Amino acid sequence: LSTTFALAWRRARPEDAPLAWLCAIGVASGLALVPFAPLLARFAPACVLHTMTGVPCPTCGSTRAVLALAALDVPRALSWNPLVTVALVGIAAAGFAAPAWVAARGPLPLGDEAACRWLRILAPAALLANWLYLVLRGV
Amino acid sequence: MMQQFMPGSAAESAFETRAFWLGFAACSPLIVGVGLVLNTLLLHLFLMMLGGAKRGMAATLRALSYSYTAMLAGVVPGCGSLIGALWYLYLIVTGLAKAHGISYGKAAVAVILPVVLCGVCFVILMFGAFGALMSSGALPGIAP
Repeated sequence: LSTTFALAWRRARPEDAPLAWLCAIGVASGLALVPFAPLLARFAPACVLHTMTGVPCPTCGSTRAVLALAALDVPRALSWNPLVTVALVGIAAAGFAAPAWVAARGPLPLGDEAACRWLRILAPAALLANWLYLVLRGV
Repeated sequence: MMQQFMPGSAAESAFETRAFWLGFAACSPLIVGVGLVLNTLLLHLFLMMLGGAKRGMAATLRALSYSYTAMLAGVVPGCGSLIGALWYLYLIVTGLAKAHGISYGKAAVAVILPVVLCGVCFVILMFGAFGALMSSGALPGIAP
């Protein structure tokens, strides 16, 4: 069991730098849009599932979580949608650190079969747990 | 902050001004940058779950970037956006299949799965509601 779920790692290579810089630019673009978040949020469509049934979908509360994050209110963002909040904060941190990480030749996980196995377990579990929370909270 | 989105609020009146739309047009390159990164991450995550991420995230990003060219069809008034969306779907499925060396079916599933998952949630809820109605005897002609 330990071998089938053991993650393999490799050192970052110079050819990883363009992708790392693109991630950093994407994150920087997101941060540059923060002052416009309240206006841009109006483009977010209403949730069809929530409108029809009154029950939130797994991504309900994302817009409100983003707005709370834009106001640096992390606890409120977590209360609106924990999964989206954690994912966005993680992506922002990883995106900014990526160029330096690649330059320092830090370890990167290989997207091998073990990583896919972990993902097949963790991603649906996180999505389901988040959805249950949203339904119980009544977002 | 939520009050800003109520009808008649300052945000709504700003939403209707020409300055807002000009500002939005100026911001759109940033929006595309953010969307590209988030879309790449989500798509690659689903590809990994399906065992289709053979050549790394750079290949997914390349396929997605080329597919975004379909959005140019949006300049055509009326049906442009719809044609662009369909063209984008064709390009992204073909691009992912070629870039990762996977079947068209697997690439299509990776693209459509996030949407389908929301649909599955909907079906589960409908079955749950139907079961609850049946057990309560609220449906006429169906015994509890």
